[in-house]
Amino acid sequence: MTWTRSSIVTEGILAGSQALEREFVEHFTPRLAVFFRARSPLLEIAEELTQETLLAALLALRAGKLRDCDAVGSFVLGIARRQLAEAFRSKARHPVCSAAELEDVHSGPAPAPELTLTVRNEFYNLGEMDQRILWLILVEGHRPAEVAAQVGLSEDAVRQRKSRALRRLAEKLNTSAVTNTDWLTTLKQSGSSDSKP
Amino acid sequence: MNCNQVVSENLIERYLDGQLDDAARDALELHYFECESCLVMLQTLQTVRPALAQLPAPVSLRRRTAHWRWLPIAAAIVLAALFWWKGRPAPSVAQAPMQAPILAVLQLSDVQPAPYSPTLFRDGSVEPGAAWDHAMRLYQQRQWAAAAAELAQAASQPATLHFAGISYLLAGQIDPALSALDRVIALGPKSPFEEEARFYRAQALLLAGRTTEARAELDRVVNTRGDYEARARTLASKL
Repeated sequence: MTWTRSSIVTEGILAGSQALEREFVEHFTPRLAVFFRARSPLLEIAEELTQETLLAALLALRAGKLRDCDAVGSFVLGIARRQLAEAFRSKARHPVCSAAELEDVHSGPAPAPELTLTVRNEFYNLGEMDQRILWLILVEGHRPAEVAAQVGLSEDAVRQRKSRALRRLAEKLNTSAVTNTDWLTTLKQSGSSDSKP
Repeated sequence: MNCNQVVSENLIERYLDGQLDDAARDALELHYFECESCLVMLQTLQTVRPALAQLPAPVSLRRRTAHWRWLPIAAAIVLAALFWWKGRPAPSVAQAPMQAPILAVLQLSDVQPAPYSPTLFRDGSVEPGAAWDHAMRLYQQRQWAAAAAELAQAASQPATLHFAGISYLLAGQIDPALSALDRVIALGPKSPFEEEARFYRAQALLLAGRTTEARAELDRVVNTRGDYEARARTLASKL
């Protein structure tokens, strides 16, 4: 599955379209946010790196540095990985957090209280079996095969129930990331891309 | 890589747990940069997992956990009772009044942790520094004994003492729990944790078998007419 508009968008950015730059940012912001949250323990760094990566990617696209317009996903991902590696190198040189925090890259930030409340309400609205399955897999870290043995269902049934329950939670939480493109406006005012779409 | 492989090999959970090798991790990242449904699943898990970890386990699993947790204690009680029974003098009929069996109204697994939000300090106090952060991270991860030990070492403000007491209680260490909670309560209205500390003290007293004192403490919580009134009333009604 590829981003069907990748060629249109990247070629449009090269031609100086602000609207397509905005579409590019809206498409990649949630992806980069997930990537940096998964790879970095500190939320502030994740947000900062997301913006830095988008900025670097846009500048590179404007400069025509992307040869294969269909490969824009791997192009952005490559920039993100370089930004992350540089951030870790920088942190190692000038630590602002403890070594334990840097090593514990998967603990993640504590969720906001209102989010915890929403998750709690929706979780307890699930059936007892679905609650057990989600808890055993997501909190206790069991594999679906182990959970299947515990709850007396097949492994496939456990996977299906888990996916269905997570989809329900996703719908309720509306987890699509909010894309803040204010910084893009600032970039426009000081950047070279002024032409209309 | 495709979505079926992502699901069948639990790649998203393993990715978030840092368990994938470099090649699998890179392939998954490239996949979710292109695949909307896997991206949404990742976003959901990143949101739901830490939130779920702050909730008590589902009732059915708590029952399971409680059984196993109490098994050694139950065995010890049975053995102690056996030794006492064999060693006791034979009672006369007049010395052996009929007693109703005492049922536990509270088990350790029924005690719920007090909510904690890293940005919320109800007394306006600030506990800066890595020690507090680390201890409360342990608290959020439900590592009660470790959290209690760290909080007790750093205890200088009501919040630290309070969460130390609750952590001790949840770790099953009743005496240090009572000691810490007593210190919070002794601060009186100066501490915003007084009502909550009293409710947890009542639970600690119940677990210690000091029912009369627990009932008195629950009455005080009820009379406070605060957030814990309903829970204190419910617990008191079981005594």
